[in-house]
Amino acid sequence: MEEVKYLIIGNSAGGIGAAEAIRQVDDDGAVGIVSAEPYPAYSRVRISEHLACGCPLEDILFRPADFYETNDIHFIPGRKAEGLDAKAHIIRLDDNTEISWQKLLLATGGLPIMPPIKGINKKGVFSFTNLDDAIQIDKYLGDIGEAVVIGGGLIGVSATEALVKRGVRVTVVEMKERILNTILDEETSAMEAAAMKQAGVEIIAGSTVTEINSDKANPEKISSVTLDDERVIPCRLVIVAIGVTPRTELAASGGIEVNRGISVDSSMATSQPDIYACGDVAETYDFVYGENRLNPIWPSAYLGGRVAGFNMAGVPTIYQGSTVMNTMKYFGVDIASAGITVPPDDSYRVFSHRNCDIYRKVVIKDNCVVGMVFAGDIEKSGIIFNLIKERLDVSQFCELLTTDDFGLTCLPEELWRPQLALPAN
Amino acid sequence: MFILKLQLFYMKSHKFEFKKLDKKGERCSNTEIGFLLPYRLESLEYFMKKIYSRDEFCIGCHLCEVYCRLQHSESGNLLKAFKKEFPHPLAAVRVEEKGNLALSVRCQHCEEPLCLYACLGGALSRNAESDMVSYNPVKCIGCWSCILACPFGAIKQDKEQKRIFKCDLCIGEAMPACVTNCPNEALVYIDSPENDSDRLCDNHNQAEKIKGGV
Ligand SMILES: Cc1cc2nc3c(=O)[nH]c(=O)nc-3n(C[C@H](O)[C@H](O)[C@H](O)COP(=O)(O)OP(=O)(O)OC[C@H]3O[C@@H](n4cnc5c(N)ncnc54)[C@H](O)[C@@H]3O)c2cc1C
Ligand code: SF4
Ligand code: SF4
Repeated sequence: MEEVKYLIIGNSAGGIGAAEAIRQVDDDGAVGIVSAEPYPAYSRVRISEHLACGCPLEDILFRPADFYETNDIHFIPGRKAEGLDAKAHIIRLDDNTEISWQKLLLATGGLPIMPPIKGINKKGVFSFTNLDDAIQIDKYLGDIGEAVVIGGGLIGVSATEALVKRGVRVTVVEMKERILNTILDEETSAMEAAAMKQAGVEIIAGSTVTEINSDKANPEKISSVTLDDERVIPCRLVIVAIGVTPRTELAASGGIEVNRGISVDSSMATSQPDIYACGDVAETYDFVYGENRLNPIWPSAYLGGRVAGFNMAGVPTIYQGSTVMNTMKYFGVDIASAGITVPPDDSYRVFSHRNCDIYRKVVIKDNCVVGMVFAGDIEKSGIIFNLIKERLDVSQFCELLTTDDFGLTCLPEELWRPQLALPAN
Repeated sequence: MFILKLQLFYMKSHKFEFKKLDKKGERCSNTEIGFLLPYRLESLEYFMKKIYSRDEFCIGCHLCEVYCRLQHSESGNLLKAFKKEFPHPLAAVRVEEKGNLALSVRCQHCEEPLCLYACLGGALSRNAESDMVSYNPVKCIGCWSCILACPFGAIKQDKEQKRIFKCDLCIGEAMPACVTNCPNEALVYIDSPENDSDRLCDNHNQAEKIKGGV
């Protein structure tokens, strides 16, 4: 049986974050990474480029191809971990080999949600979360001229952009009243929707797909979808992008406490000793909501992995938390958003500024910034995001936050002087 | 390989509550924890030189911006760079002014580079030789994830090339162009702000030499 000191399941943002942290403090301990996907660490976000322009695998890797070699990591690609014995510290892979470990990280990410729509198992219906999805869609696409994307979230918009670049006419069907509704406010989601319409995309909001239909002559292939209002949209390809759900089955098989995702504490440890979790599969601390939540975004996966990695290597480290944060450039609209973008009640104060394509909005509660959306010029969005993280009292300068010349100099000196400037004599 | 020593350290004195979940998913215990990545890397050979502003000397002339742009232009010629070059060269530094305060801001090549951790394309990395946070334009997809992560707003959007632009410490030059060309010595390129004045002077002499030498 192979023995490693550190075993990481999942070879993406979270897994690599942990491996890099471990190697920063432990040069010698054996590290193994198991990945169900057969590829070296690639950027999930860039699968749309593969679909849009055939961008090869080497181009979308987010670490150099020799990453595993230079860091002395035993990489086991194309193998799924199927059984977890938490007490005996053993993982069983799908080829029945077993690996024993001292510290284990579960960075197994998410699985696309496939709703129980009639016809969802037909050929021509795809999800869009990993490279194989993009490769298969690419193979299937041929001369297909019309597609329906179910779900107007980040992944749906990303898939739409790739298809549009391939010359496909896309209809996006979004259940809620507007696209990107979980991360953007009305203004910015309207800006994005306008850019999409300009590119020829049709958006049907407030609707759901009830059935995926085929011609009688060709029952295997898709001919259209039916919406809940009986409308029929012709199409030969359907992409389902209504979200991801934490891939917790491995954790559950080892008796680890699972809520919506794997529950972790501030050191990213699970309920079982020596087992850690991070990324899309874990429920981690959110500093806006003050509680553990699913935050399926790249930066929190990496940071959570980093904190887990340090703790696995015996360096006590605490996860500061994160919150939903997103940036996008789809269809040429640059947007950065974080935290609460639409205040749920009138206990929040909102400051906003709009000048043509430039839009800035911050949401404040109890004198702290709890959310923001910037569009057009987003260079200073990180300063605001940092205020959210620091939970700083902004009451003295809140009206400056959305102005054109907002910057570090509007903030208390302690926030910038230690890093940027010499102490004034 | 650097010998790294990790030391616990709390970046902020204030604390907030961390809520742990119980079996049913309800919050059951609150443990106070320290704020922000509570570790600090202390490399014994960490000679990461950085550019610091001396805001009390900064007159807000924006020449650091001008010379940064020039340094990163194709032609290296002031008139051509601004009028004829496409894509336009950008400045990786920004001068902020507020009241009497003027501050020149650029990437600080942080010990914990949040930009790098947020990078979706793998374009940002820690340079093994210089320790700076360097940026590979070929890998950048212009997703702006790093911009939202940087607490200083130090990363620029290059909208023409649809990718970012950030400080590279003028790699290959003896001294970053902004430091060399600041007419008021309001920028210094040193190991750490706590450094003794000797070294500070050294750097200034060096800058003077370079200025004089060209
Ligand atoms: C199209 C698209 C666009 C996105 N855009 C953005 C964006 O703009 N910004 C942003 O912040 N985030 C974005 N995301 C989300 C981001 O990609 C994820 O949050 C991030 O990849 C999470 O990383 P992770 O390490 O938790 O898990 P994942 O990236 O999901 O990786 C988990 C890995 O573990 C493997 N695995 C799972 N179970 C097992 C097992 N039992 N054995 C072996 N291997 C296993 C999986 O095969 C997978 O490779 C996007 C995602 C998609 C799909
Ligand atoms: S870009 Fe910002 S976060 Fe990244 S190293 Fe520079 S200052 Fe730090
Ligand atoms: S804009 Fe470029 S450097 Fe920044 S996160 Fe995206 S890929 Fe990385």
